[in-house]
Amino acid sequence: MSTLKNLPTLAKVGLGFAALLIPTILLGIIVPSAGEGDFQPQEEFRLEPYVTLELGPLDLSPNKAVLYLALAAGITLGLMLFIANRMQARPNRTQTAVETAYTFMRDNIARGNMDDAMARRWFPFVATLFMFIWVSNMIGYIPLPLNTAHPIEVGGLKLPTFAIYAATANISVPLVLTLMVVVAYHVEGVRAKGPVKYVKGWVPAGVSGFAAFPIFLIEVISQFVRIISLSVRLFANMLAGHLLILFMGGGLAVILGLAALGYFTLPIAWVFFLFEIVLIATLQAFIFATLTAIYLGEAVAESH
Amino acid sequence: MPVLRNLDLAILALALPVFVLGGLPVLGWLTAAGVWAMWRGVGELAERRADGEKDPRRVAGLMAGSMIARGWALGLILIAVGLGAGDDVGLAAAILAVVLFTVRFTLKALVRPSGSGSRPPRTSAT
Repeated sequence: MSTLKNLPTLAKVGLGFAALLIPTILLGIIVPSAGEGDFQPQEEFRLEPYVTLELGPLDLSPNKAVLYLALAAGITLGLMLFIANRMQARPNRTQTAVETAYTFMRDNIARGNMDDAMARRWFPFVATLFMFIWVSNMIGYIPLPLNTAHPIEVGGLKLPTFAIYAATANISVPLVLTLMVVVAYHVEGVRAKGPVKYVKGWVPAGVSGFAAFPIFLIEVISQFVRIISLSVRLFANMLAGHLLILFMGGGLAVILGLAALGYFTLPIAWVFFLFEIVLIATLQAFIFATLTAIYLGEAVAESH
Repeated sequence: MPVLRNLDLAILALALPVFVLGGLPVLGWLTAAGVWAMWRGVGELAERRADGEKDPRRVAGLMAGSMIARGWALGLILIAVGLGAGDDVGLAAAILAVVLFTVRFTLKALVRPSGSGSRPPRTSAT
């Protein structure tokens, strides 16, 4: 044990890699064909309606993503109301954690990017966005029995299997949240400055004459790019995280028909799982809420 | 809240009659019970060692390392049982293990921060 501790880091990493790779190769030789089957990992993301619900041309059929949205909204509301109704002068650890989150959202996200009047008005919106996205991201890493793609049979009953999925890993959800933000900051900008002055304000102070027109065009394009960047950043990060966990956790072994590969990829799946739940879920909620506050603050600022 | 903290064990016990009556392989239940005992045992050991540590980096390393090692061992045992005893046994054990993980993981996240407060009472409403 002490010999291992005295080894240089590179040697330790090499040993760890060998401890993963050599048994994988041996297992591959011993059980070469194990793992072949008709399981399709990509179907984890397929959205099948639980019941058909159509309103004229509108398909309102609830599916897994809708259920996750409702769950995230319910948990966010329930958690906040539960804590708000039990505020004490001597707070327990939950209240302390929520108060810390509240102060962080108010001071760092809202007040840090908007003037006091704007922060007061828009803090509830920004904080709700943060909490909703955070809860949605977090429950996305808890295996829940909502996957109808590969049902299991227990006593003649076909039950959905456990899988991880996040509403934010579906582009529709981040896109709708982004459109809400975009409409909000344009409305706020127009309300603060009037439509003409607001649009003129897109050209940075000090730019005039011929240079103003191409700069204005670039700014117009950037307004549309914001829709893509804000929504795709959240969507892509969440989807990539889920795909990494899915493929490392067994998807790759199934696709390649080589169960032995699971020996190598399983610990990597757990590393990704911890990384996503500890860092990415919160970081993405923070980035979305902070950018929302920045856009709102910028829309009413005199010049940028 | 000891009931909530051990709800996973209650579910494990309740799963046995479901396995027997539902015609599911009892070996699958035994495998799940075994891997879950390993999960809880190693987790408890890691938590005790982490409680005695003062360096936050070592605490984080212990907790993350134990979770990765447990997850790895759990997956490998399930794959081995599936390969050795048949897909139905491995699948039944894997599903029960995932149910137990979901219950334990969710309840731990909810129950853990709700301990009694150690902060002094606030003197001003800031």
